[in-house]
Amino acid sequence: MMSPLAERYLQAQLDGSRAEALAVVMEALHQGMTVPKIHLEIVQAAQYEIGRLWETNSISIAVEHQATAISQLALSNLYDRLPRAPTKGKRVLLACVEGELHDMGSRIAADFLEMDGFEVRLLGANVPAVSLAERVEHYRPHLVALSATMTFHLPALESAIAHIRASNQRNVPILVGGRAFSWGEAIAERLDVQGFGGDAEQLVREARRLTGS
Amino acid sequence: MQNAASDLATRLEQNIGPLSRRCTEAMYGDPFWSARFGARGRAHAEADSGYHVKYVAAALRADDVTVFKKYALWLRGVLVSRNMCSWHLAESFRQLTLAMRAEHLEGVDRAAEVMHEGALALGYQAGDAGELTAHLANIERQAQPESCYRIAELLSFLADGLAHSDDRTFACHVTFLNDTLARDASEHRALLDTLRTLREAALNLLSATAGSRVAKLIDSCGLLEVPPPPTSNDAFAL
Repeated sequence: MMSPLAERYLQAQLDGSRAEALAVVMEALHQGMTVPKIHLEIVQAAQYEIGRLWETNSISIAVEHQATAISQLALSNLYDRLPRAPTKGKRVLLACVEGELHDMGSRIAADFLEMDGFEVRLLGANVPAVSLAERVEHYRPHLVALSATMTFHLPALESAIAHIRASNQRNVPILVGGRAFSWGEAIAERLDVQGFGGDAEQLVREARRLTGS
Repeated sequence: MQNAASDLATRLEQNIGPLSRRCTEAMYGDPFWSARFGARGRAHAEADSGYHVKYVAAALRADDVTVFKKYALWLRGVLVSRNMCSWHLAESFRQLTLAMRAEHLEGVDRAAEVMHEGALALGYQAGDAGELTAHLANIERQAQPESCYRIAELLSFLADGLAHSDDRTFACHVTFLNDTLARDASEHRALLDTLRTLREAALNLLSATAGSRVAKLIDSCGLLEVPPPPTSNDAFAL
């Protein structure tokens, strides 16, 4: 069940009105809704509904893309308003694996990690494994978090992990997450990773555990 | 054992193009597809075949057939809202299996098992759709399939309609068959006879609730003359 604000945000997405969508987000802030709640109960909730509407042929793929673009804008507008815990002095590098274009989840995860005091580098969608490993060597994160939405991107995930394990940061803890695991819950257990984050909040808990913070 | 599965997954992925094209070519041998969905539909069908291969490969690598079963169930939900039925999806799996064998890919039996499990997962187990599914063999026997018109497909649309409480898609499909595909007089007659037989079989074999829902779906097509329900005055008619 979506809240009235979430319903209005969703309608703005369907109408393609960026201004109205941002107005809803600002109204939520003025009503005292926290930024994490806006992430989850407005933006993410609306995105899940957008996905359901496409699956049931209620909206076209073009409208789905329009809606997602609006949510990317909303998250960008919320960035400066993220409440930030004191820095932990721990670096996290996030990326979507090669071929994976769905990066909304990783963007929300990055925001939640920054709110929790982590220093975050977000590489975004479709990061080639070789380039990812080079970035890990350069940034020397305390944790790498990899996202895969489509189950058939698991080979790309395995390749990303293998390249990191072959780098000079081979012992860095790796977390995985994304909807790719929802169709095969045991898949994550077969990977050379140290944790699994089913959603942004679980990801933060795992990040704390794996970095000792 | 798992290396063999991974190797098969890699071979499948390397052959996505030929497999998808062969599968789609075979499916479009049925004139229904071009007539119903056109060139755009064919492009989607070929793309979907590619995704079938990717998810079979994912299931093989994960050593978990659930991956493909969940994909099949999710995709069914997407396709039934786009005027397709479960039988169409199962048929695409069957054609893809044939395509794999035709490409002489080593170890393909394991991939065939995965797709077979995916097709089985599409069968309804509960509710009125489950009841209809459980009686499919009896209904087909009663309907004398040799004279029936596309009966497996019609039954699948009925089951999907029951499961999704969708009154529209079955009627759209039958209207399409009536207006477009069954142009030959004997085919048209076979279609109407099949609908009558399905209606009667559903009322005879299924529970009152399920049977009447099936009858209502068939009646909604508006092609059969349905006798009016008896009134109390009939008891006094001479």
